[in-house]
Amino acid sequence: MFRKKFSRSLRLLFVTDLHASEITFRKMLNAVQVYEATVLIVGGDLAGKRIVPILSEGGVFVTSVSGNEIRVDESGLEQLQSKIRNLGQYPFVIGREEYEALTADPDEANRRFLAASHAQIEDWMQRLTARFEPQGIPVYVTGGNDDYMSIEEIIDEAPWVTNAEGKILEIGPGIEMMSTGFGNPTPWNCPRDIPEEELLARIRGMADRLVSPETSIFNLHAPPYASGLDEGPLLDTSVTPPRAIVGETNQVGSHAVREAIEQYQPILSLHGHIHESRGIQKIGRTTCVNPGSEYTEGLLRSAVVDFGKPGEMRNVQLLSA
Amino acid sequence: MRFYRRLQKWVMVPLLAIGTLTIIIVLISGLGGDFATSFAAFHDDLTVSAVKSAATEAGYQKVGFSFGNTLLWVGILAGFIPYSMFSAQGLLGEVKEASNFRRLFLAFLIPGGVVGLIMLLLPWLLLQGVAGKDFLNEFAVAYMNGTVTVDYFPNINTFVQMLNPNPAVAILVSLGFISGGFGIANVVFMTASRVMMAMSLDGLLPQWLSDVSKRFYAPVKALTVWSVVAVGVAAWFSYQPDFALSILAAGAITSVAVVGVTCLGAGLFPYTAPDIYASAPIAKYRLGKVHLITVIGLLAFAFDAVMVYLALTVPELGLTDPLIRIALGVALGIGVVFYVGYGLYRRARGIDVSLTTKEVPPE
Repeated sequence: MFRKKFSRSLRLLFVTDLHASEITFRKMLNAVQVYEATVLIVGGDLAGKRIVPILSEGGVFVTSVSGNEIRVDESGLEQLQSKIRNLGQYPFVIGREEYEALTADPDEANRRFLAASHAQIEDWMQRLTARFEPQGIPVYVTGGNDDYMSIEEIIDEAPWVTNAEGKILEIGPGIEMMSTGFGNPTPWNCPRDIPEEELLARIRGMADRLVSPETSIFNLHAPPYASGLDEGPLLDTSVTPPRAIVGETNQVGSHAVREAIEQYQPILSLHGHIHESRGIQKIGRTTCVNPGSEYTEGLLRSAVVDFGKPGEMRNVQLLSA
Repeated sequence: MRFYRRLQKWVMVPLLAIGTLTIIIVLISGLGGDFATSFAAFHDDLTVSAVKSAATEAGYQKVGFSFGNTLLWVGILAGFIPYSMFSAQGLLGEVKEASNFRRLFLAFLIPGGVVGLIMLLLPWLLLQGVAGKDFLNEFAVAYMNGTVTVDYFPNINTFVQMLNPNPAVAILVSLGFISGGFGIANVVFMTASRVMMAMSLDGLLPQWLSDVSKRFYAPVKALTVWSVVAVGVAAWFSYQPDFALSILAAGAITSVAVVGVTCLGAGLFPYTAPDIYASAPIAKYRLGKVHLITVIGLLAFAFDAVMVYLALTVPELGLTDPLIRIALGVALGIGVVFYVGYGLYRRARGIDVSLTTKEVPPE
């Protein structure tokens, strides 16, 4: 029953869909040490969902968080902003006149969103470098379907962080990893939504260059269709933006991702995108993992994967912190 | 799940509502009527006065108001309401609305409030008005002591039949009863299979138990395991009815104890995981400087602990059979042994389950 402890050549920590949640990111920084990981892989969707204007009027700051109106004075402003950041949103203080101009100009709101998103991702990349460069722990980052392509440059410029998008990287002895944050179309028309055919071509373009597909890792943001890792809420698309129908789910994964996994049969595939569909599933000999995401609750969902001899995957474990 | 939701919405809930409404209407129409005649007409050779004599023979003595006994009764009822909520909690995982406090609150309040107050308390209050509180106590004592034997289990449905023997009433009440029982069984099955699935994801059960069927979009393997165990236990109970009662009682007390531990966990949540708690919608509610969840959680834990203690020690509750205590101890013991043993087994294979929910402090 009890057998000798195996020798571990590599332990990777996979985290995805942080969606700008500051507290989840800060937990991830410590999780590497707590879980004794030797490699950190940050999956896509680094960007948050929205900007949150905090209206400043006569020394009182007013905003709405999760549908609740909040009023604070100067002394509570920092705590309020921290709370909003922890929820994965971008707060900024604004006067009445500017607020009204902003609500009337969606382009300006989008510009502010991008600026806030870029600033945070740049900050995150610096902190990843500061934390893990001294420890010599490699960090691989990709965008996700919610991330604008403009963040690529920011990740590229980070000194210690490797931008894994579209690349084949050897992350351990005999372990190649190919990555993409592009995904199949969603009702929200996200920045990296592309047609299934294009996605399949993109994946095959990388997979065909793998030296050993059967010992490789596919780091693909979108989960495979009908895998048990892609159960998302059924959406009412008759309204804008589409609204989730409570209690109804359907399979929203990618056919292209599934086809690629079935064809190449990598040892491991890492996914995210569908936050509520956390799990570990098998497609043929491939172990498919979606650690899920609960960034709005400040919860760090992650997966730890151990490798033994080159090409030998030993354990996959889902973690919550 | 979609099919079940539709079945629940369009068949089970309406049938349960119609059945309950039928009970309430029949009982209201029986208020002020001649219950003794209805009772005698329902039985071949049993009358209200015969029941009173049988109760006296069994040692029944009419007692006045007792605060302690009332507390026990309220405790049972109050235990049932959070248990309904606890069951509903299992299904909330399917909904994924953890950050919507209003929705969560209503989801807890409606099953607890409606089931506890309208569907249980109101019919029983009406029945007391129809048959008389003393008679119900007398019948209960005589039945439990065997000085009255009837070929049915005396519950509210049979009293309704006494008041109105119309077959249509029997059909409506029965359909409601069957629908309610079916719903409870399903809630238990769904909750249990999801718990197994979650434990499997946490590494505390074999990984295959968390597999989700590609055909049914449900944890079919976990459901199958649970069904096999349930059928085995049901078959065992049918051959050992005396043992069944003890095991069922131990199971019920264990469930209540689990609710108590959950309440304790909730009460300590702001201190065990302060950062996660701070992002929860309930975090803004406080009583003075203390978190509301801490006050309610610790009160509920204390109440639950007292109720479990009373259930195991007060003879009037009928749960002091040594077999029940043994079964309870064995259930909890198996849980601890399994948790520790399986954790060691997994660790030997390179998986440290203690990491699964280890709190990682933010940088």
